[in-house]
Amino acid sequence: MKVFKAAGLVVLFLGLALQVYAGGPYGEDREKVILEGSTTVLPIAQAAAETFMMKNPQVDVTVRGGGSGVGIASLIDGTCDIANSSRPIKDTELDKAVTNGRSPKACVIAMDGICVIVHPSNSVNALTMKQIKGIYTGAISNWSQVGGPDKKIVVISRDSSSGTFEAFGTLALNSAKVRPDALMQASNQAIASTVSRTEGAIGYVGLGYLTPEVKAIDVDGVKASKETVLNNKYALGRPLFMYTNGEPRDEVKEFIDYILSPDGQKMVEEQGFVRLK
Amino acid sequence: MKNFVIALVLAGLVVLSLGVRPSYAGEIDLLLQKLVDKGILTPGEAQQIGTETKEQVKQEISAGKYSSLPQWIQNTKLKGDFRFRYENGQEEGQTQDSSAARIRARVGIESKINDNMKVGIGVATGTTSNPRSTNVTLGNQGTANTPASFKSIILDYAYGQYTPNNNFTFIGGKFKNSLWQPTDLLWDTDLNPEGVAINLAQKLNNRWSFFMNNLWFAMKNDTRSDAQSMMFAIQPGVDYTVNDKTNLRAAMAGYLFTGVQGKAKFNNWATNSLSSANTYLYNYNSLNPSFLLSIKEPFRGLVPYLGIYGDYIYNVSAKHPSSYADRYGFDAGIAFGDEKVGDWKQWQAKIMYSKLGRDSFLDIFPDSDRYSGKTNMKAIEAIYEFGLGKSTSFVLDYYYGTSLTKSGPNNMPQQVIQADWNLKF
Repeated sequence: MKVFKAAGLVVLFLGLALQVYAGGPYGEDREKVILEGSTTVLPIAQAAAETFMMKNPQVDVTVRGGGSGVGIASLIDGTCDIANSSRPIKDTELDKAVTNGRSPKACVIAMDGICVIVHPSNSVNALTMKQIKGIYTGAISNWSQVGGPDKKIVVISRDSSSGTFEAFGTLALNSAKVRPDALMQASNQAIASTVSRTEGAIGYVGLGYLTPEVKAIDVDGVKASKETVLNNKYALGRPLFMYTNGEPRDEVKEFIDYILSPDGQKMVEEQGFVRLK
Repeated sequence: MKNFVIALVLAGLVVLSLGVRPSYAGEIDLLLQKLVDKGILTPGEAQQIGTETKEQVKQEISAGKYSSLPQWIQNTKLKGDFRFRYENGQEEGQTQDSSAARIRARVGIESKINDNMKVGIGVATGTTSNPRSTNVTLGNQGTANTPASFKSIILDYAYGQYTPNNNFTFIGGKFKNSLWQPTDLLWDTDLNPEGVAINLAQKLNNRWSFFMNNLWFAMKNDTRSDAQSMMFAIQPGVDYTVNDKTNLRAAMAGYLFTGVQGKAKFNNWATNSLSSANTYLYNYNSLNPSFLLSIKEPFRGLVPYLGIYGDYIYNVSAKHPSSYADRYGFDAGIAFGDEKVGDWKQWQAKIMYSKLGRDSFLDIFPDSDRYSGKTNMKAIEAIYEFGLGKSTSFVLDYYYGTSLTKSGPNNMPQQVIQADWNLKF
């Protein structure tokens, strides 16, 4: 029986150690707000955290990436206060949250519009969603198939870990796989830069990353703009969320209120997204 | 205040519309657009109110707030599966193959008692004498000679679970193995331990998580003679997120047994070392490190998933005259394809090599399909699973096993191929 007693003591000790590590009576005095999730929302969250902490030095805001799914899982597990997400919460996640006694509350903090861009010399000015899907899945490989010049299409995409890739895949491709020979880029800027240098290229970037060196094309006859994204007329628009467990309170509420304030919304715009107000 | 009132009214409208017309949400959008057109709301405010309202209603429906079902039904989940298998086995030296069609059916409920507690009860096909299999053979089984005989149903699991917070889970009863195992080398997946499990988990930061699984397994309990056999297992481990696509899980299990050495063997065909009185010669206190490296879209997305995994087991309590070769075992393998097969056209292939020394682990636990579940063996296993649709798949599983003892009538090489049709609900 000695063995069992020893093992029991080990379990007890490690359990206590975990509790202490988790932030028990030895935690710091500063209030903590932890954000985790979408890499798309990450720049907004980081910029807001920086300014918010300058105005509220008693609050320590930690921002982590990982993706929307990771953030929502952490909110359900209780390891973050705010889950950043570039998509609405899934039914399976909601069920899990409810099972765990959580009630995710959505707050829309900004809108994101994904613009399809081509080289300025390209004569194609508009594409349908079906054509875009055809180009990105490999069914269409030459601009002449969509009314353009006889030139091979060079497909450029974000890397699969990005929220923009996920959103584009859902909104434009119905979750179909991007053709394997697509050039994967690590940022919106990299895509815009590559498209501006490649005549046959097509890519996609957030609305805020449009530059004069690339041409944004109409999608299903609608031009990408703040207005068309906000009124849901543009097909490649989506809301960006911050989810909390129940109604936000205390520092969490103050932080979200700051993002929704005129200053916060200005910062949203500066980060390349569509402000709500 | 204006937005709050509008949101409240819209939420009420959406809720009232539940079960009336699915297109009502679209009409909410039209209403919001009218408010924008009249200059009462900005487009951004309308977007915010509309989206948040829909999300709120979704959440409340999920929470059962608007469900007409009784609360106890909302808190109870029914789950189960069915498997139809055709199996062919060949053993060197035998003139005939052994072929059989088998079925497995499992049904269980899990009911939430309150926010922290739940109970699970499940039944399955099988026999009370074989805890490592829930298969029943179609047609004549063994010496039975009754076509279309009824098949027996046994209690597969029954447990209570207490989870006061996300870091701690207590389970008591007969339950699914709470120790993490990347393979079934040491634990047949049908074997449900009986006793108590305590699982601790803590996310340390964005990359590291720690867990510790503890199991007390009452293997044999006879209070009159005090002939008790028990296992205590402790398994600390970590999850490490290398990057967005790569995750490593590693754990070290330690097993302690009481009431095994010198006691009667648990089964008729034991491969562990026995005394002349058919009692276990050694104890089976052992160390078992395990790992699983999961990589999403490796080789530039050539396959969606690659898993590399392995186990090692060493019996620290088996002493002379047992040899080192008898005391250790290991397996190593890879899985590639889709991470999980849950829908049409998803697939996964696995290949694994394994070896178990005669006294590396107690021989009542390993996978019963690999060289008949014996120790003192080495084997190759290859599996291919293909999704036939949502929650249904076809599986081909091939085993080739040989005994580590080179001679003797019970040590012949065996090969088994199984073709399974799985359906889950």
